[in-house]
Amino acid sequence: MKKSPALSTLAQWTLDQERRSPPNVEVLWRDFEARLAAPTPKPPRLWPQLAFGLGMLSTMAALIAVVFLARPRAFEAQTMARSVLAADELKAGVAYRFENAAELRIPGHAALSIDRESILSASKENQVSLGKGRVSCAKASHVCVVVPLKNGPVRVQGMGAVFAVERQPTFLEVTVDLGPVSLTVPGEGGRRVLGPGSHLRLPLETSADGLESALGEIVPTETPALTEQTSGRLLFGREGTPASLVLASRARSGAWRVALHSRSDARGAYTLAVPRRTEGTFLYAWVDHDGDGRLGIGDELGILPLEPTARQPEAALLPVLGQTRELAALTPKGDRQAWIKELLVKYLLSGSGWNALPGTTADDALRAAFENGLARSRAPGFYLVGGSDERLGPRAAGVQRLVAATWSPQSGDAELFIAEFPEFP
Amino acid sequence: MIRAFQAGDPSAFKEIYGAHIGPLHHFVRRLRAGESERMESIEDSCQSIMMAVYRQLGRFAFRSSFTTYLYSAALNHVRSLRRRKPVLELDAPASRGPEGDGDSFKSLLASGREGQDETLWRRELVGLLGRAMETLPEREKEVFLLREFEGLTFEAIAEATDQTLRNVQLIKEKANLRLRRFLEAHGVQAGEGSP
Repeated sequence: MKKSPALSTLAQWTLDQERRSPPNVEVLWRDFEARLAAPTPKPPRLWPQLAFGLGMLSTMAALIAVVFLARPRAFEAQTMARSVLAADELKAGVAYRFENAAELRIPGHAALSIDRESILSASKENQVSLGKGRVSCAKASHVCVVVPLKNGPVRVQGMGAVFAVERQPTFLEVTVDLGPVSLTVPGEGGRRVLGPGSHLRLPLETSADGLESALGEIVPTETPALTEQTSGRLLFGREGTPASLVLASRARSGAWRVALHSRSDARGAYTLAVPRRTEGTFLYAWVDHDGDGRLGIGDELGILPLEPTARQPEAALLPVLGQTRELAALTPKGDRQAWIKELLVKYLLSGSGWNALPGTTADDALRAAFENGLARSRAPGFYLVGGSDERLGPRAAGVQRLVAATWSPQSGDAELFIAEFPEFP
Repeated sequence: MIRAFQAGDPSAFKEIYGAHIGPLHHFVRRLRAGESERMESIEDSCQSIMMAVYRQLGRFAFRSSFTTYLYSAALNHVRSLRRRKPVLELDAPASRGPEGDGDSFKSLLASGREGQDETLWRRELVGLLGRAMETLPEREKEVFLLREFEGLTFEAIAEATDQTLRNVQLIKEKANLRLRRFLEAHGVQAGEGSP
């Protein structure tokens, strides 16, 4: 192997060689001058591209204009002191705010019992279509109602619930777009809860009064929507206390998914990443004081709806734990669905002051709950359990209509369902 | 001169041109060594670069040296040239792989080169380095040329190539290594020099 100088020296040799044959600068400069003097080549004709671009722009502008025109107009607000209106009093594009009105009645047309401070807007020309019926609520607690006249489509939006009534060839169909929403259905003996995507069919000949009855008591159930990722380190429990946590979330399909997380952590801290764009996610957490891995007597329970703005959920969870309940001994083992069902029953019974006898099956307990009026209503495959706060008794203070369940008598599947949430201090 | 040109004296550009066209010509030729000139000759490339500089020089803000500015323009031009759709080569390109004349060079070494004229030895090494540089990846070749042939600092190279200083130094080290290996494969061990 022969040695050569360093690479930099070789480069220098190269430069030395090149210097012996420099380019003829004068010739190059003359060429450069000639190039400068030469007319600049015409740029390619741009008008075809311009025409195409303008066409695209105008198409987009037209689309934007359509969307803009089709969007709900800002309603002119008008506060009404009375809750009964004549039909010809209603003006299109006007929002009527009824303060402290327990019921709003429009003679001869669909009437709706609505929460106080509700907004109603209507079109006397019956021109409010389903698309235009989507109005924004001034407040989350408002119920916004669009009432088209003469059996037109009805769309109700409020507190996370939207449902529409459409006239089909042989029936009227009530569709719940967003829910859950509970309403009273005549003939079924109580309130019925419809989840998102649920349908309720009414006879085609249902009169306005019938529709009024069907929708007579609309109580949209508040469901906090979680539209962006909320993740963080949830701190709960006490120092040195093992903790367990259940995350329940509602899928877009409306089904509730329940996942049990357990962790023994000396600091009682739990890190949880909430799935992105999960709607209606809330936490159902307990502190396992006796450390037996079970939710039992003496353990603490808290329920936390995760709000979109809850960047640091631990700050919100801790006060929830102040509202705790003692629960009957439960064993979160084995089949999860069975456990959830058992949890519901025990929860229900513990709230009622009843105690399940040893050997009582969940089905027996549920049946007993209905027979004893603890379950508020019954629909095929669906049970609303828990009931109102007065039903749950003093030990459930601060918890309102806490738990509902879907349960299939055929398969025995049950899913946890929380209809309403505790009022946090 | 640049300020004079910016002040509205177009004749000042002739001096700028004269001072830089030579090094630029060599730089572009080395940069495009081994590439087809069907798309654009070396001379055309240099004139195009100078034309671009002529048109943009009014906005030159002296944030870097003019040399860095010029080589940055040259790199951009050559890179855009490489991105263009290649012209169909009707003639078979002269096939000269990286080994190229290596065998003849080896035989030259084996046949008692030491007695040969020093100039011949230098010429052969220079030619071998030229072939070695053709084997470098594009980025390594750019950095190596700017550093060893044009004498730019690493900072200036980083600016001209739009890379970080550390990255430029790493690229240079890799280029050195690759070139040494090439030379070793041809029976020459390059001495250690500056990075």
